[in-house]
Amino acid sequence: MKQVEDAEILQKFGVQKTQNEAFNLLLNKYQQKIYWHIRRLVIDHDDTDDLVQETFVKVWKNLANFRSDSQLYTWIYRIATNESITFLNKKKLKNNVSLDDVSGELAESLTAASYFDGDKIQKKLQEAILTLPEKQRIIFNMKYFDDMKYDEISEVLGTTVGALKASFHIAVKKIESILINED
Amino acid sequence: MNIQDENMEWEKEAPQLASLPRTTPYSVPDNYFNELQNRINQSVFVDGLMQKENQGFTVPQNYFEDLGNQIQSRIALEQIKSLVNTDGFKTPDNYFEKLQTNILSKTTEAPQKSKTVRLWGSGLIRYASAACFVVVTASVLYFNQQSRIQQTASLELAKEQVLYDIDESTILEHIQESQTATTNTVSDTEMENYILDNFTSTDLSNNL
Repeated sequence: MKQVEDAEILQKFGVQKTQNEAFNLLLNKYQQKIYWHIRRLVIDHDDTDDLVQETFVKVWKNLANFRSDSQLYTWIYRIATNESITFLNKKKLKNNVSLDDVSGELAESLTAASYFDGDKIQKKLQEAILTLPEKQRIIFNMKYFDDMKYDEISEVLGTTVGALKASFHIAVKKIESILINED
Repeated sequence: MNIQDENMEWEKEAPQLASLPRTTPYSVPDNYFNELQNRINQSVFVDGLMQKENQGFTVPQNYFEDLGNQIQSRIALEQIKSLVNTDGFKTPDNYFEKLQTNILSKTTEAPQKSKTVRLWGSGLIRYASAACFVVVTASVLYFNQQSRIQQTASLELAKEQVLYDIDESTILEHIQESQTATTNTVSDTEMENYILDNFTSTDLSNNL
């Protein structure tokens, strides 16, 4: 299916008659990207499903107010990232655990997940990623899996390019050492 | 800097990581993404309905955000209560059954134990009070009599003083007049007859 340009989506959404059509075009274009972005953060499929729906409900409610000072998909990514962070913070409060402990909990759900079909090395990689601090993990995921540019990641997280480079560099070194040591 | 240049920077430093396929090892239920679009549209529709329904009602700020924590706290409290149903303190056996009896027994014994002193029970008090009464009464009578005697004496003295001050000739005239008055008691009828016999009407009118 030919990907529609963001400008066309926004233009159609601006007209009430074509609002629903525009929104469906937007879902077609971004739903999977957003799904995987959230899934890598929260691991569990059902949690991801809830957060994806909440993200796009917010997109629907606020798209009319979207100003084109950032790209549409970085704006959607930002909503999805914030929803995921809020969810993880609530999980920490609910279980009375610290930031590090919730990563341990996510690692347990990784192995217990009925929708995990990776091999041993992929499981090792995912476990290594879960050892990273929350923000560093988000940066690593967006750079490594989504292949986003630092400028785009900077729009999503509101962090400078320099800080992003440094954070990603540290994350890569940490994961590499885990992968090498466990071999 | 393009994406390739950015990637080359770290790929050299982490060859093991760079060699792995950049795929996420998670799967999804069958037809998940085919149905996801419809489900998101349904969520948007339901959210719109809820916004309209909630227009008449309001909840405190951050109510739903805090609700989960409040429910969790309540559950934890109930769990603690179920685990620890006492506060750790013990009482002797049958304490509460005996308590009422103990309290009643202590409250009924109190009057017997307390000493009551009757005011008029002692003979000494009775005799003393009677004696006081007699003394007081006698004193009142005595002083009353004394004051009467004194009054009488003072009155007599006053009379004597008055008589002393009056001239003797006045006293003698008074005595004589009183004697005359006692011997010359004339009735009214006799007086009228005397006046009619001895005075004319002209004499009476001239004198009037």
